[in-house]
Amino acid sequence: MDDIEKISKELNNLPEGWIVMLETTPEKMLEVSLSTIKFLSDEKNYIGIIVSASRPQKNLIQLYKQKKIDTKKILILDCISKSQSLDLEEASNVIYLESVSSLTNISLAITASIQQISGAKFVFVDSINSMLIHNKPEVFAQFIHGILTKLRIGGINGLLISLENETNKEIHAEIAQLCDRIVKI
Amino acid sequence: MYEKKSKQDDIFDMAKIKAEIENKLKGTDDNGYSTVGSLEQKTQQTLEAVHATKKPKKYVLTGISGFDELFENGIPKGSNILVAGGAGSGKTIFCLQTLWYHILRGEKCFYMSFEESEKRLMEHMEDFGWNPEKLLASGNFKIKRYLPSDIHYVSEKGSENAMFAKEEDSQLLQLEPVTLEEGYNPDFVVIDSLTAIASAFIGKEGSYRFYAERLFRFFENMGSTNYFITETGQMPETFSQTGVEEFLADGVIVLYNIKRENMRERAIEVLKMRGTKHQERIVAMKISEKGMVVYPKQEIFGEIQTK
Repeated sequence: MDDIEKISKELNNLPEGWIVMLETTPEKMLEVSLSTIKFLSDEKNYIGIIVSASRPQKNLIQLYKQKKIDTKKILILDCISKSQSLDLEEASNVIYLESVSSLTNISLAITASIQQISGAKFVFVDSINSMLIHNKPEVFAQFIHGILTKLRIGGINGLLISLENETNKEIHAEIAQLCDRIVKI
Repeated sequence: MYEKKSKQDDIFDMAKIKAEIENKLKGTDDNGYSTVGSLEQKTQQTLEAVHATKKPKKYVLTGISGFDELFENGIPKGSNILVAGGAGSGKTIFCLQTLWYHILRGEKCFYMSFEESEKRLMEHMEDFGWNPEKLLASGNFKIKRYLPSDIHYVSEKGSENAMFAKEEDSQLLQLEPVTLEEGYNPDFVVIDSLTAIASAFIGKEGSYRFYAERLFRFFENMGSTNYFITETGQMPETFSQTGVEEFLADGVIVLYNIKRENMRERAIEVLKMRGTKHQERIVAMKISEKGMVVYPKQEIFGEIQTK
């Protein structure tokens, strides 16, 4: 069974409103992210809200196109481009946020996105480790707890990705207790 | 399968959704109406609450998107309110925005500035599209700058330059305004700021405390709802110059500009408000191109350590 088969099997077995954490290696992280988004977007026909703390939108869009992911069904909350003073290209599916450490704004943007996008959707936090580089663990724990609780209350699907054995133990435990599944790839 | 997808694509308009999300983050729609909470709905709730009480108490709204939702009924009319915060936290914008809201509703408002010039304050208003010239022309808005040194005359017996005081004796027994135009009785007054006024009392802190008490009492008797701006540190432990003002005031609103990592985030709190129930937590706030927006359901992440 390849990686995406494993992920799809896990996700297919969960009732709507699932919250899942994917744990993988640095080498596999990108491919796991892309394959999972493609599966959820193409196969499950979900709208994806991608909280990108790892890559700017320009790079993400390129990768999605290479992977033949339908970017019309993706909304990117780009936490990188503004803080790195990159060109903020006007795009219909990108919202630029101040920085990865601007947690309140990220939370507001996720909340607004969830409210505005009707139908089946998922929120993908990419990645826990990138967000932890820019935020104190205890502050990030408060943030992620708030986000996952909002998703749970709203019955919204949530996907988190992190590096196996590289995440602060307490944060890992905090997130794990709020997830339905931890899928190791 | 293909047909089904293409139908959904037609219905799904990400550009429109993006615009709606961005408006939500700005706190206003393209027409400038609140997207955080409906003011009209809040006004209706307020009126109902007023009618429901045995002894009707009047409340006022600020008109600041999301902020009025922090209260059960609004701010009790005639309150003296401290608006406290550090540099750049949005105190002046908060006050100008609430005056703008009331002027548009035909109420008389007076902005007394001891810091910035009338021109500078009007420029701030223009930045947010509040059209100060039109407001002044309506006759419902007055804006005037004073020098903190004007206050200093208060302690000089017999001075005709005294701004608030006509002394009957050295204890400032009677306060009488000499600056308000006859017949102009404002519904809302902003005093910007107590910090600047206090600077006229350096070395005479006791006199300042006495003066502050008289000042609060004077505005209380006027019947207007009054906002007293005070400058604090970014993480204040006291919310006024001497600490006595926050006890004298009916309400204290604190604005934060919190530094975390390499970013700053804004927040607001109703620390105290006599005569109404209010949320007791610090919530997110933004200053957009259309003014201040408060997110009453959005908590702030990170440390805010105050008393």
